[in-house]
Amino acid sequence: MSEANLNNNTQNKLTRTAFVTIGATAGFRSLLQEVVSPKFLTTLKSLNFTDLVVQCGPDLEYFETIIPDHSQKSYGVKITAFSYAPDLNKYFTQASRSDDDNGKRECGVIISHAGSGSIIGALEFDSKLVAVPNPELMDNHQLEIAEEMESQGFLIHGTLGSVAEAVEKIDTIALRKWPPGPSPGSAYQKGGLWEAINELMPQSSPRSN
Amino acid sequence: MNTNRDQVVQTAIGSSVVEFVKNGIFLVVVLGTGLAIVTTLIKLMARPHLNSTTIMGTIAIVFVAGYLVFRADAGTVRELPTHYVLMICGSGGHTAEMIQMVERSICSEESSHRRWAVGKDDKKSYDKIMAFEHSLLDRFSHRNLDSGTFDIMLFGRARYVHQSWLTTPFTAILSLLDITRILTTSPRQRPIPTLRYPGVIVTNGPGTGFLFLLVAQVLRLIHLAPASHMRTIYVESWARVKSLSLTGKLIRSLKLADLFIVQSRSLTGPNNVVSENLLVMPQQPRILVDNE
Repeated sequence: MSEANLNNNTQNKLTRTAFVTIGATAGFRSLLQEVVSPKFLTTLKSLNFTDLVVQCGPDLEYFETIIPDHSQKSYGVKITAFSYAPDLNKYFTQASRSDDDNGKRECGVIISHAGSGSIIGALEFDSKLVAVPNPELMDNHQLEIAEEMESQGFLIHGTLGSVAEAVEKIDTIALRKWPPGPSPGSAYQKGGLWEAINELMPQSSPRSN
Repeated sequence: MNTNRDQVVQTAIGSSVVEFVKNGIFLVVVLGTGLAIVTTLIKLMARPHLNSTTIMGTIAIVFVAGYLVFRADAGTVRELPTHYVLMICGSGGHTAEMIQMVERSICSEESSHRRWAVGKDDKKSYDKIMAFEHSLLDRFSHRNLDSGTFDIMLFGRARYVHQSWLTTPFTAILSLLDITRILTTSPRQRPIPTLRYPGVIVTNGPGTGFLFLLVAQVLRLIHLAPASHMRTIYVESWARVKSLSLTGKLIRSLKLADLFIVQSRSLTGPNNVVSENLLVMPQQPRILVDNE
């Protein structure tokens, strides 16, 4: 469905998508509010974004009440929302740079809560990632991981209230490519977890490898 | 490529019959031995009448005999050529990390079995593992590799969220029983019914992982499990970059892990093995993922 929209738009100009994902379990209303605020939408417009796709988790009904209803209010950015999908890859792809000719897209942006699962999922795609820690979750270290990953150069750490400023950085900051190469001095860089398992596995009888 | 799947099913049926008979024989032998010892003892020692000392003595001897029989059985594991890993998945994020680490690094082993331990209430993890195992079977059989067998066993949690502290001891005991069962039940899918204990146990952070490692350590300590088996690996979550998790701290201070892996340099410690970004190592999966 979104691909059909894409193709219509691509006739004359490039599309550029911002994909917002807040994960499956906890709601994140403050981020949802912020991405439909006039400040955020004007920023998107000034960066030539055409689409805003929002995965709202448990807060879809809430989001539909705050979504701007006219295109003037949304500053020409097309907003679509859904609750949850088992496979978000389609949306991640939509926010990534495209290689083939029939889908002409500019590299968009993924704005995600800073859960480790979402970050790992998003980094697999050739896009720019802004991770926003959810301050309402006490014990899951979202802030810790967002800061660390920013210092390693893989993403931009966004904070509530200035997500628009974080998005403005995507065209100026060069992010490191994920996954990082093997790190010297670290263990199991060649064989990963399985290498560690095989090291401890009892080998009492002859094995062919 | 269905032959692999059929074969797995057939072996499961075949071995369950064999195992049932074997367990039956084992039970009869244990009960018979116990009974014989008890009657002989009563005849020998308690001719006038039974007093408390003889009863205690008898019970003690039965226990020791049972223990020896159990141990003798445990000893038979040593000869077997198997690659049996137990992976403990607690909750959403941890399960996803565990699956990703296995997906990247797994390679084909001869006669291998993977057991996944999942919380009874954790439907999401269960589904994720099933989906992963399906993709794994396709990935391996495409290249004519043996993907081995797997099973998923469920455990009750020691304490559920919002549970009263009064009932916690009971759920904790049930949870410990589940854990022991998962650690000592041989996989039904394998043609070798004596395969009993996992060679390696891996966990990456949820609280129950700590209990698993504790029970495994106790079983090894009292020589119920052979010391060469149930080697333990703890992998601190990738999300932990500044401090260890509570589970990690507990496991490290009690030295429950044979291998304690952290994924960030800032957590370097005397007994920690630093393996940065183990989550995405190796960079290319060893058995390639199909892109269709």
